[in-house]
Amino acid sequence: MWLINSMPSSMKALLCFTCVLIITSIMIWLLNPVIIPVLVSLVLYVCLLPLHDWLTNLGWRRDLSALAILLLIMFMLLVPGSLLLGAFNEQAILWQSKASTAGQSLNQLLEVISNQLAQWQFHMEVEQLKANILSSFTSGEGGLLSSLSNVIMSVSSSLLLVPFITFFLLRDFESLRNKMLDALPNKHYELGWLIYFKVANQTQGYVRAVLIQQSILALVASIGFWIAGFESPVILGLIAGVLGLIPYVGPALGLIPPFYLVLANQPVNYDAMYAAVLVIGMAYLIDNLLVIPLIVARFANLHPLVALLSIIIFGNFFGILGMMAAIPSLAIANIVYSQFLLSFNPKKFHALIA
Amino acid sequence: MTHSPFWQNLFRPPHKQKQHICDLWLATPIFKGISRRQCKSLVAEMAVRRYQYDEAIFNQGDVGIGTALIIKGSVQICSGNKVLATMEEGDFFGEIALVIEAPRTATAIAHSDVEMVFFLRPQLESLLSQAPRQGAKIMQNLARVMANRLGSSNALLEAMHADD
Repeated sequence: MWLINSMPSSMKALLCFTCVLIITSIMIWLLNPVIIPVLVSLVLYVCLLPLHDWLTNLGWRRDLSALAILLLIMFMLLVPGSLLLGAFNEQAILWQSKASTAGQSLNQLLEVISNQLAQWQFHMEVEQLKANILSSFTSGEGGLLSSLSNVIMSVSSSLLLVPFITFFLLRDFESLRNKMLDALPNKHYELGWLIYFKVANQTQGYVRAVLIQQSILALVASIGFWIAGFESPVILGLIAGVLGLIPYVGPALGLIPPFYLVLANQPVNYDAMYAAVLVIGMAYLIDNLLVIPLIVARFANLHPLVALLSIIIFGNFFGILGMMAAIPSLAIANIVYSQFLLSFNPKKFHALIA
Repeated sequence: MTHSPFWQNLFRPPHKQKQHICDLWLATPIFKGISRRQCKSLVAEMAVRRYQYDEAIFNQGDVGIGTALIIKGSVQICSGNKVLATMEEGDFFGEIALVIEAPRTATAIAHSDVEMVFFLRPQLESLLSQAPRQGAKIMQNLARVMANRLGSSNALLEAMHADD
Protein backbone atom coordinates (compact mmCIF):
# COMPACT_ATOMS: atom_id res chain seq x y z
CA MET A 1 0.00 0.00 0.00
CA TRP A 2 2.87 2.34 0.89
CA LEU A 3 4.43 1.60 -2.50
CA ILE A 4 1.20 2.48 -4.33
CA ASN A 5 0.74 5.70 -2.33
CA SER A 6 4.29 6.84 -3.09
CA MET A 7 3.84 6.27 -6.84
CA PRO A 8 3.42 9.26 -9.19
CA SER A 9 -0.13 9.79 -10.46
CA SER A 10 0.68 8.56 -13.97
CA MET A 11 1.99 5.26 -12.56
CA LYS A 12 -1.11 4.85 -10.38
CA ALA A 13 -3.31 5.48 -13.44
CA LEU A 14 -1.28 2.97 -15.45
CA LEU A 15 -1.58 0.38 -12.68
CA CYS A 16 -5.38 0.81 -12.46
CA PHE A 17 -5.63 0.75 -16.25
CA THR A 18 -3.60 -2.48 -16.40
CA CYS A 19 -5.93 -4.06 -13.81
CA VAL A 20 -8.98 -3.06 -15.88
CA LEU A 21 -7.27 -4.40 -19.01
CA ILE A 22 -6.50 -7.75 -17.35
CA ILE A 23 -10.10 -8.11 -16.06
CA THR A 24 -11.48 -7.21 -19.52
CA SER A 25 -9.14 -9.69 -21.23
CA ILE A 26 -10.21 -12.46 -18.84
CA MET A 27 -13.89 -11.65 -19.52
CA ILE A 28 -13.30 -11.72 -23.30
CA TRP A 29 -11.43 -15.02 -22.95
CA LEU A 30 -14.28 -16.50 -20.90
CA LEU A 31 -16.88 -15.22 -23.36
CA ASN A 32 -14.88 -16.44 -26.38
CA PRO A 33 -17.26 -19.31 -27.34
CA VAL A 34 -20.21 -16.92 -27.47
CA ILE A 35 -18.40 -13.69 -28.36
CA ILE A 36 -20.19 -13.17 -31.71
CA PRO A 37 -23.78 -13.56 -30.42
CA VAL A 38 -22.90 -11.42 -27.38
CA LEU A 39 -21.44 -8.66 -29.59
CA VAL A 40 -24.41 -8.77 -32.00
CA SER A 41 -26.80 -8.68 -29.01
CA LEU A 42 -24.96 -5.71 -27.51
CA VAL A 43 -25.23 -3.85 -30.84
CA LEU A 44 -28.96 -4.69 -31.00
CA TYR A 45 -29.37 -3.66 -27.35
CA VAL A 46 -27.80 -0.27 -28.07
CA CYS A 47 -30.05 0.21 -31.11
CA LEU A 48 -33.24 -0.92 -29.38
CA LEU A 49 -32.68 0.82 -26.04
CA PRO A 50 -34.46 4.07 -27.09
CA LEU A 51 -37.54 2.04 -28.10
CA HIS A 52 -37.41 0.12 -24.80
CA ASP A 53 -37.11 3.39 -22.83
CA TRP A 54 -40.01 4.87 -24.79
CA LEU A 55 -42.24 1.87 -24.04
CA THR A 56 -41.34 1.84 -20.33
CA ASN A 57 -42.04 5.58 -20.18
CA LEU A 58 -45.49 4.87 -21.59
CA GLY A 59 -46.03 2.71 -18.52
CA TRP A 60 -45.14 -0.74 -19.93
CA ARG A 61 -43.45 -3.15 -17.53
CA ARG A 62 -39.76 -3.71 -18.32
CA ASP A 63 -40.16 -7.44 -19.04
CA LEU A 64 -43.25 -6.84 -21.19
CA SER A 65 -41.47 -4.16 -23.20
CA ALA A 66 -38.42 -6.45 -23.65
CA LEU A 67 -40.72 -9.30 -24.73
CA ALA A 68 -42.48 -7.10 -27.30
CA ILE A 69 -39.09 -6.08 -28.70
CA LEU A 70 -37.94 -9.73 -28.73
CA LEU A 71 -40.94 -10.63 -30.90
CA LEU A 72 -40.24 -7.62 -33.11
CA ILE A 73 -36.61 -8.75 -33.62
CA MET A 74 -37.72 -12.27 -34.49
CA PHE A 75 -40.20 -11.21 -37.14
CA MET A 76 -38.62 -8.03 -38.50
CA LEU A 77 -34.92 -8.90 -38.46
CA LEU A 78 -34.35 -12.62 -38.17
CA VAL A 79 -36.53 -13.87 -41.05
CA PRO A 80 -35.16 -11.52 -43.76
CA GLY A 81 -31.70 -11.71 -42.11
CA SER A 82 -31.57 -15.51 -42.37
CA LEU A 83 -32.71 -15.41 -46.02
CA LEU A 84 -30.05 -12.83 -46.84
CA LEU A 85 -27.29 -14.77 -45.05
CA GLY A 86 -28.32 -17.97 -46.86
CA ALA A 87 -28.16 -16.16 -50.20
CA PHE A 88 -24.75 -14.76 -49.32
CA ASN A 89 -23.38 -18.14 -48.39
CA GLU A 90 -24.62 -19.65 -51.68
CA GLN A 91 -22.94 -16.79 -53.53
CA ALA A 92 -19.68 -17.26 -51.59
CA ILE A 93 -19.61 -20.99 -52.49
CA LEU A 94 -20.31 -20.11 -56.16
CA TRP A 95 -17.50 -17.53 -56.15
CA GLN A 96 -15.09 -20.02 -54.60
CA SER A 97 -15.90 -22.53 -57.39
CA LYS A 98 -14.87 -19.93 -59.98
CA ALA A 99 -11.39 -19.55 -58.44
CA SER A 100 -9.57 -21.30 -61.33
CA THR A 101 -11.22 -19.06 -63.97
CA ALA A 102 -10.38 -16.01 -61.89
CA GLY A 103 -6.80 -17.31 -61.60
CA GLN A 104 -6.42 -17.57 -65.38
CA SER A 105 -7.88 -14.09 -65.89
CA LEU A 106 -5.65 -12.69 -63.17
CA ASN A 107 -2.66 -14.30 -64.88
CA GLN A 108 -3.55 -12.61 -68.18
CA LEU A 109 -4.11 -9.27 -66.44
CA LEU A 110 -0.80 -9.49 -64.59
CA GLU A 111 1.01 -10.44 -67.84
CA VAL A 112 -0.39 -7.29 -69.50
CA ILE A 113 0.64 -5.16 -66.51
CA SER A 114 4.06 -6.85 -66.37
CA ASN A 115 4.70 -6.20 -70.07
CA GLN A 116 3.64 -2.59 -69.64
CA LEU A 117 5.97 -2.21 -66.63
CA ALA A 118 8.86 -3.90 -68.50
CA GLN A 119 8.68 -1.14 -71.10
CA TRP A 120 9.35 1.30 -68.24
CA GLN A 121 12.26 -0.88 -66.94
CA PHE A 122 10.27 -2.32 -64.01
CA HIS A 123 10.22 -6.11 -63.58
CA MET A 124 7.54 -8.09 -61.78
CA GLU A 125 7.41 -11.77 -60.69
CA VAL A 126 3.99 -12.52 -62.19
CA GLU A 127 3.65 -16.15 -61.04
CA GLN A 128 4.57 -15.42 -57.43
CA LEU A 129 2.32 -12.37 -57.23
CA LYS A 130 -0.59 -14.31 -58.72
CA ALA A 131 -0.05 -17.18 -56.26
CA ASN A 132 0.06 -14.74 -53.35
CA ILE A 133 -3.11 -12.91 -54.40
CA LEU A 134 -5.11 -16.07 -55.03
CA SER A 135 -3.94 -17.79 -51.85
CA SER A 136 -4.77 -14.75 -49.72
CA PHE A 137 -8.19 -14.63 -51.34
CA THR A 138 -9.33 -18.24 -51.44
CA SER A 139 -7.03 -20.51 -49.44
CA GLY A 140 -8.29 -22.34 -46.34
CA GLU A 141 -8.19 -20.62 -42.93
CA GLY A 142 -6.63 -17.27 -43.78
CA GLY A 143 -8.38 -16.65 -47.11
CA LEU A 144 -10.55 -13.56 -47.37
CA LEU A 145 -13.52 -15.42 -48.85
CA SER A 146 -13.43 -18.17 -46.23
CA SER A 147 -12.77 -15.66 -43.47
CA LEU A 148 -15.76 -13.54 -44.50
CA SER A 149 -17.81 -16.67 -45.00
CA ASN A 150 -16.77 -17.92 -41.53
CA VAL A 151 -17.83 -14.65 -39.91
CA ILE A 152 -21.17 -14.70 -41.73
CA MET A 153 -21.74 -18.38 -40.88
CA SER A 154 -20.83 -17.83 -37.21
CA VAL A 155 -23.28 -14.94 -37.08
CA SER A 156 -26.01 -16.93 -38.79
CA SER A 157 -25.50 -20.05 -36.62
CA SER A 158 -25.74 -17.92 -33.49
CA LEU A 159 -28.79 -16.02 -34.72
CA LEU A 160 -31.01 -18.17 -32.53
CA LEU A 161 -29.12 -17.08 -29.43
CA VAL A 162 -29.14 -13.37 -30.25
CA PRO A 163 -32.83 -12.53 -29.53
CA PHE A 164 -32.68 -14.20 -26.11
CA ILE A 165 -29.46 -12.47 -25.07
CA THR A 166 -30.93 -9.16 -26.32
CA PHE A 167 -34.14 -9.81 -24.35
CA PHE A 168 -32.23 -10.36 -21.11
CA LEU A 169 -29.97 -7.38 -21.79
CA LEU A 170 -33.01 -5.13 -22.28
CA ARG A 171 -34.69 -6.50 -19.18
CA ASP A 172 -31.80 -6.86 -16.74
CA PHE A 173 -28.73 -4.98 -18.00
CA GLU A 174 -29.36 -1.88 -15.89
CA SER A 175 -29.90 -3.79 -12.66
CA LEU A 176 -26.83 -5.97 -13.34
CA ARG A 177 -24.78 -2.86 -14.08
CA ASN A 178 -26.02 -1.19 -10.90
CA LYS A 179 -25.10 -4.25 -8.83
CA MET A 180 -21.61 -4.41 -10.34
CA LEU A 181 -20.94 -0.70 -9.83
CA ASP A 182 -22.43 -0.77 -6.33
CA ALA A 183 -19.77 -3.33 -5.42
CA LEU A 184 -17.09 -0.67 -5.93
CA PRO A 185 -15.39 0.58 -2.76
CA ASN A 186 -16.73 3.92 -1.48
CA LYS A 187 -13.55 5.72 -2.49
CA HIS A 188 -13.96 4.82 -6.18
CA TYR A 189 -17.75 4.75 -6.41
CA GLU A 190 -18.22 8.07 -8.22
CA LEU A 191 -15.17 7.54 -10.44
CA GLY A 192 -16.49 4.12 -11.48
CA TRP A 193 -19.86 5.59 -12.49
CA LEU A 194 -18.19 8.47 -14.31
CA ILE A 195 -15.99 6.15 -16.37
CA TYR A 196 -18.93 3.84 -17.08
CA PHE A 197 -21.16 6.66 -18.31
CA LYS A 198 -18.46 8.25 -20.45
CA VAL A 199 -17.62 4.94 -22.10
CA ALA A 200 -21.31 3.95 -22.48
CA ASN A 201 -22.30 7.32 -23.97
CA GLN A 202 -19.44 7.34 -26.46
CA THR A 203 -19.86 3.68 -27.43
CA GLN A 204 -23.64 3.89 -27.82
CA GLY A 205 -23.34 7.01 -29.97
CA TYR A 206 -20.58 5.38 -32.04
CA VAL A 207 -22.43 2.10 -32.60
CA ARG A 208 -25.67 3.83 -33.66
CA ALA A 209 -23.88 6.31 -35.93
CA VAL A 210 -21.66 3.66 -37.53
CA LEU A 211 -24.66 1.43 -38.25
CA ILE A 212 -26.43 4.33 -39.97
CA GLN A 213 -23.20 5.20 -41.83
CA GLN A 214 -22.66 1.63 -43.07
CA SER A 215 -26.30 1.27 -44.10
CA ILE A 216 -25.98 4.43 -46.23
CA LEU A 217 -22.69 3.13 -47.66
CA ALA A 218 -24.19 -0.28 -48.48
CA LEU A 219 -27.25 1.34 -50.08
CA VAL A 220 -25.19 3.73 -52.25
CA ALA A 221 -22.80 0.92 -53.27
CA SER A 222 -25.71 -1.47 -54.08
CA ILE A 223 -27.38 1.15 -56.29
CA GLY A 224 -24.01 1.86 -57.96
CA PHE A 225 -23.32 -1.86 -58.64
CA TRP A 226 -26.86 -2.29 -59.96
CA ILE A 227 -26.43 0.66 -62.35
CA ALA A 228 -23.01 -0.68 -63.42
CA GLY A 229 -24.66 -4.02 -64.30
CA PHE A 230 -22.95 -6.30 -61.75
CA GLU A 231 -24.60 -9.56 -60.78
CA SER A 232 -25.77 -9.71 -57.10
CA PRO A 233 -25.48 -5.92 -56.55
CA VAL A 234 -27.16 -6.11 -53.12
CA ILE A 235 -24.65 -8.68 -51.83
CA LEU A 236 -21.71 -6.69 -53.23
CA GLY A 237 -23.12 -3.54 -51.62
CA LEU A 238 -23.60 -5.31 -48.28
CA ILE A 239 -20.02 -6.64 -48.38
CA ALA A 240 -18.78 -3.10 -49.08
CA GLY A 241 -20.91 -1.90 -46.13
CA VAL A 242 -19.59 -4.58 -43.75
CA LEU A 243 -15.97 -4.07 -44.85
CA GLY A 244 -16.52 -0.33 -44.47
CA LEU A 245 -16.59 -1.00 -40.73
CA ILE A 246 -12.82 -1.37 -41.02
CA PRO A 247 -11.52 2.19 -41.20
CA TYR A 248 -8.82 3.14 -43.75
CA VAL A 249 -8.41 -0.30 -45.37
CA GLY A 250 -12.16 -0.98 -45.83
CA PRO A 251 -12.44 0.68 -49.28
CA ALA A 252 -9.57 -1.39 -50.70
CA LEU A 253 -11.05 -4.59 -49.28
CA GLY A 254 -14.47 -3.60 -50.64
CA LEU A 255 -13.01 -3.57 -54.17
CA ILE A 256 -11.82 -7.18 -54.00
CA PRO A 257 -15.21 -8.97 -54.45
CA PRO A 258 -16.29 -6.97 -57.57
CA PHE A 259 -12.78 -7.34 -59.06
CA TYR A 260 -12.89 -11.07 -58.36
CA LEU A 261 -16.34 -11.28 -59.95
CA VAL A 262 -15.10 -9.46 -63.06
CA LEU A 263 -12.10 -11.82 -63.37
CA ALA A 264 -14.22 -14.93 -62.70
CA ASN A 265 -16.48 -14.31 -65.71
CA GLN A 266 -15.22 -14.99 -69.26
CA PRO A 267 -14.66 -12.93 -71.37
CA VAL A 268 -13.24 -10.47 -68.85
CA ASN A 269 -14.85 -7.05 -69.06
CA TYR A 270 -12.08 -4.75 -67.86
CA ASP A 271 -14.35 -1.70 -68.07
CA ALA A 272 -16.37 -3.23 -65.21
CA MET A 273 -13.24 -2.93 -63.02
CA TYR A 274 -13.16 0.84 -63.62
CA ALA A 275 -16.90 0.91 -62.88
CA ALA A 276 -16.32 -0.93 -59.59
CA VAL A 277 -13.59 1.56 -58.60
CA LEU A 278 -15.97 4.40 -59.49
CA VAL A 279 -18.86 2.90 -57.48
CA ILE A 280 -16.76 2.23 -54.37
CA GLY A 281 -15.01 5.58 -54.78
CA MET A 282 -18.33 7.47 -54.97
CA ALA A 283 -19.80 5.55 -52.03
CA TYR A 284 -16.76 6.30 -49.86
CA LEU A 285 -16.62 9.92 -51.05
CA ILE A 286 -20.18 10.47 -49.80
CA ASP A 287 -19.31 8.53 -46.65
CA ASN A 288 -16.09 10.43 -45.98
CA LEU A 289 -17.48 13.86 -46.75
CA LEU A 290 -20.72 13.53 -44.81
CA VAL A 291 -20.43 10.94 -42.07
CA ILE A 292 -16.86 10.09 -41.02
CA PRO A 293 -15.88 13.62 -39.88
CA LEU A 294 -18.97 13.69 -37.68
CA ILE A 295 -18.54 10.23 -36.17
CA VAL A 296 -15.11 8.57 -36.19
CA ALA A 297 -13.10 11.75 -35.67
CA ARG A 298 -15.30 12.96 -32.81
CA PHE A 299 -15.46 9.58 -31.12
CA ALA A 300 -11.93 8.33 -31.46
CA ASN A 301 -9.74 11.45 -31.48
CA LEU A 302 -6.83 9.22 -32.48
CA HIS A 303 -3.82 9.91 -34.67
CA PRO A 304 -4.35 8.21 -38.07
CA LEU A 305 -1.06 6.28 -37.71
CA VAL A 306 -2.06 4.96 -34.27
CA ALA A 307 -5.48 4.00 -35.66
CA LEU A 308 -3.93 2.25 -38.67
CA LEU A 309 -1.41 0.34 -36.55
CA SER A 310 -4.15 -0.70 -34.11
CA ILE A 311 -6.25 -2.02 -37.00
CA ILE A 312 -3.31 -4.11 -38.26
CA ILE A 313 -2.45 -5.45 -34.78
CA PHE A 314 -6.10 -6.21 -33.83
CA GLY A 315 -6.60 -7.77 -37.28
CA ASN A 316 -3.57 -9.98 -36.76
CA PHE A 317 -4.89 -11.30 -33.44
CA PHE A 318 -8.67 -11.33 -33.91
CA GLY A 319 -9.28 -11.32 -37.70
CA ILE A 320 -11.94 -9.18 -39.38
CA LEU A 321 -13.90 -8.72 -36.14
CA GLY A 322 -10.73 -7.44 -34.48
CA MET A 323 -10.20 -4.92 -37.29
CA MET A 324 -13.76 -3.65 -36.83
CA ALA A 325 -13.37 -3.40 -33.07
CA ALA A 326 -9.89 -1.79 -33.13
CA ILE A 327 -10.89 1.89 -33.22
CA PRO A 328 -13.72 1.73 -30.63
CA SER A 329 -11.56 -0.43 -28.31
CA LEU A 330 -8.68 2.00 -28.53
CA ALA A 331 -10.97 4.98 -27.99
CA ILE A 332 -12.54 3.33 -24.91
CA ALA A 333 -9.06 2.55 -23.54
CA ASN A 334 -8.17 6.21 -24.13
CA ILE A 335 -11.22 7.42 -22.13
CA VAL A 336 -10.57 5.02 -19.24
CA TYR A 337 -6.86 5.86 -18.98
CA SER A 338 -7.49 9.64 -19.24
CA GLN A 339 -10.13 9.45 -16.51
CA PHE A 340 -7.80 7.50 -14.20
CA LEU A 341 -5.07 10.04 -14.90
CA LEU A 342 -7.40 12.95 -14.08
CA SER A 343 -8.69 11.37 -10.91
CA PHE A 344 -5.16 10.69 -9.61
CA ASN A 345 -3.99 14.16 -10.59
CA PRO A 346 -6.52 16.74 -9.30
CA LYS A 347 -4.29 19.66 -10.37
CA LYS A 348 -4.60 18.58 -13.99
CA PHE A 349 -8.36 18.23 -13.50
CA HIS A 350 -8.58 21.78 -12.14
CA ALA A 351 -6.51 23.07 -15.10
CA LEU A 352 -8.73 21.21 -17.57
CA ILE A 353 -11.92 22.65 -16.08
CA ALA A 354 -10.44 26.14 -15.97
CA MET B 1 -13.79 -7.09 8.86
CA THR B 2 -17.54 -7.69 8.44
CA HIS B 3 -18.12 -4.13 9.69
CA SER B 4 -16.08 -2.71 6.83
CA PRO B 5 -18.23 -0.48 4.55
CA PHE B 6 -16.80 -2.38 1.55
CA TRP B 7 -18.37 -5.69 2.64
CA GLN B 8 -21.55 -3.95 3.83
CA ASN B 9 -21.97 -2.34 0.41
CA LEU B 10 -21.23 -5.64 -1.31
CA PHE B 11 -23.44 -7.94 0.75
CA ARG B 12 -26.04 -5.59 2.16
CA PRO B 13 -29.48 -7.10 2.83
CA PRO B 14 -32.25 -6.08 0.45
CA HIS B 15 -33.33 -2.80 1.99
CA LYS B 16 -36.96 -1.84 2.47
CA GLN B 17 -36.34 1.83 2.67
CA LYS B 18 -37.08 2.97 -0.89
CA GLN B 19 -40.32 4.59 0.28
CA HIS B 20 -38.45 6.45 3.02
CA ILE B 21 -35.77 7.61 0.55
CA CYS B 22 -38.49 8.78 -1.83
CA ASP B 23 -40.10 10.81 0.98
CA LEU B 24 -36.74 12.35 1.88
CA TRP B 25 -36.01 13.36 -1.73
CA LEU B 26 -39.50 14.82 -2.20
CA ALA B 27 -38.93 16.96 0.89
CA THR B 28 -35.78 18.51 -0.64
CA PRO B 29 -36.01 21.70 -2.75
CA ILE B 30 -34.41 19.80 -5.70
CA PHE B 31 -37.41 17.46 -6.04
CA LYS B 32 -40.07 20.12 -5.40
CA GLY B 33 -42.95 19.62 -7.87
CA ILE B 34 -41.74 16.19 -9.01
CA SER B 35 -44.35 13.44 -9.10
CA ARG B 36 -44.05 10.57 -6.62
CA ARG B 37 -44.12 8.08 -9.52
CA GLN B 38 -41.15 9.76 -11.18
CA CYS B 39 -39.32 10.00 -7.87
CA LYS B 40 -39.92 6.28 -7.24
CA SER B 41 -38.46 5.31 -10.61
CA LEU B 42 -35.38 7.46 -9.92
CA VAL B 43 -34.95 6.05 -6.41
CA ALA B 44 -35.21 2.50 -7.81
CA GLU B 45 -31.86 3.10 -9.52
CA MET B 46 -30.17 4.57 -6.45
CA ALA B 47 -28.05 2.35 -4.23
CA VAL B 48 -27.70 2.93 -0.51
CA ARG B 49 -24.03 3.51 0.35
CA ARG B 50 -22.69 3.03 3.86
CA TYR B 51 -19.77 4.96 5.38
CA GLN B 52 -18.03 4.51 8.70
CA TYR B 53 -17.39 7.31 11.18
CA ASP B 54 -14.56 9.57 9.94
CA GLU B 55 -14.54 8.02 6.45
CA ALA B 56 -14.20 10.52 3.59
CA ILE B 57 -17.27 10.54 1.34
CA PHE B 58 -15.34 12.65 -1.12
CA ASN B 59 -12.34 14.94 -0.96
CA GLN B 60 -11.92 18.48 -2.23
CA GLY B 61 -10.70 18.22 -5.84
CA ASP B 62 -12.12 14.72 -6.44
CA VAL B 63 -14.14 13.93 -9.54
CA GLY B 64 -17.83 14.42 -8.72
CA ILE B 65 -20.77 12.95 -10.58
CA GLY B 66 -23.79 13.56 -8.38
CA THR B 67 -25.46 14.93 -5.28
CA ALA B 68 -25.75 12.91 -2.09
CA LEU B 69 -28.75 12.63 0.26
CA ILE B 70 -28.23 11.56 3.86
CA ILE B 71 -30.61 8.82 4.99
CA LYS B 72 -29.02 8.15 8.36
CA GLY B 73 -26.23 9.80 10.35
CA SER B 74 -24.45 13.12 9.91
CA VAL B 75 -21.80 14.47 7.57
CA GLN B 76 -19.36 17.34 8.00
CA ILE B 77 -18.48 19.55 5.05
CA CYS B 78 -14.94 20.89 5.44
CA SER B 79 -12.52 23.08 3.57
CA GLY B 80 -8.99 22.54 4.82
CA ASN B 81 -9.29 22.23 8.58
CA LYS B 82 -12.38 24.43 8.77
CA VAL B 83 -15.82 22.83 9.19
CA LEU B 84 -18.23 24.69 6.90
CA ALA B 85 -21.42 22.84 7.77
CA THR B 86 -22.81 19.74 9.43
CA MET B 87 -25.47 17.90 7.45
CA GLU B 88 -28.10 15.62 9.03
CA GLU B 89 -30.69 13.12 7.82
CA GLY B 90 -32.68 14.52 4.87
CA ASP B 91 -29.97 17.04 3.90
CA PHE B 92 -28.25 16.88 0.53
CA PHE B 93 -24.88 18.17 -0.66
CA GLY B 94 -22.57 18.15 -3.70
CA GLU B 95 -25.29 19.44 -6.05
CA ILE B 96 -22.78 21.33 -8.27
CA ALA B 97 -21.65 17.98 -9.70
CA LEU B 98 -25.21 17.45 -10.94
CA VAL B 99 -24.83 20.38 -13.31
CA ILE B 100 -21.20 20.45 -14.42
CA GLU B 101 -18.20 18.15 -14.45
CA ALA B 102 -16.13 20.02 -11.91
CA PRO B 103 -13.90 18.98 -9.03
CA ARG B 104 -15.54 18.82 -5.60
CA THR B 105 -15.27 22.22 -3.92
CA ALA B 106 -15.13 20.86 -0.36
CA THR B 107 -14.45 17.65 1.53
CA ALA B 108 -17.33 15.62 3.02
CA ILE B 109 -16.55 13.38 6.00
CA ALA B 110 -18.87 10.99 7.82
CA HIS B 111 -19.44 12.39 11.33
CA SER B 112 -21.09 9.14 12.44
CA ASP B 113 -21.93 5.88 10.69
CA VAL B 114 -23.75 7.17 7.62
CA GLU B 115 -26.18 5.80 5.04
CA MET B 116 -26.76 7.82 1.92
CA VAL B 117 -27.84 7.67 -1.72
CA PHE B 118 -26.45 9.47 -4.78
CA PHE B 119 -28.52 11.14 -7.49
CA LEU B 120 -26.14 11.02 -10.46
CA ARG B 121 -25.74 13.48 -13.34
CA PRO B 122 -26.35 10.80 -16.01
CA GLN B 123 -29.65 9.97 -14.24
CA LEU B 124 -30.64 13.62 -14.55
CA GLU B 125 -29.52 13.71 -18.19
CA SER B 126 -31.53 10.62 -19.01
CA LEU B 127 -34.55 12.10 -17.18
CA LEU B 128 -34.16 15.26 -19.29
CA SER B 129 -34.33 13.22 -22.48
CA GLN B 130 -37.07 10.80 -21.37
CA ALA B 131 -39.32 13.09 -19.33
CA PRO B 132 -38.24 16.62 -20.30
CA ARG B 133 -40.85 18.43 -18.16
CA GLN B 134 -39.80 16.65 -14.96
CA GLY B 135 -36.12 17.00 -15.86
CA ALA B 136 -36.54 20.72 -16.53
CA LYS B 137 -38.32 21.08 -13.19
CA ILE B 138 -35.32 19.56 -11.39
CA MET B 139 -32.93 21.83 -13.34
CA GLN B 140 -35.04 24.86 -12.35
CA ASN B 141 -35.04 23.74 -8.71
CA LEU B 142 -31.27 23.22 -8.85
CA ALA B 143 -30.81 26.74 -10.23
CA ARG B 144 -32.88 28.08 -7.30
CA VAL B 145 -30.86 26.09 -4.75
CA MET B 146 -27.57 27.30 -6.18
CA ALA B 147 -28.79 30.90 -6.46
CA ASN B 148 -29.80 30.77 -2.78
CA ARG B 149 -26.42 29.31 -1.79
CA LEU B 150 -24.64 31.99 -3.87
CA GLY B 151 -26.73 34.63 -2.07
CA SER B 152 -25.74 33.19 1.30
CA SER B 153 -22.06 33.10 0.29
CA ASN B 154 -22.21 36.73 -0.87
CA ALA B 155 -23.83 37.77 2.42
CA LEU B 156 -21.11 35.89 4.32
CA LEU B 157 -18.36 37.59 2.28
CA GLU B 158 -19.93 41.00 2.85
CA ALA B 159 -20.09 40.31 6.59
CA MET B 160 -16.41 39.27 6.55
CA HIS B 161 -15.41 42.45 4.67
CA ALA B 162 -17.46 44.53 7.11
CA ASP B 163 -15.58 42.91 10.02
CA ASP B 164 -12.24 43.79 8.35
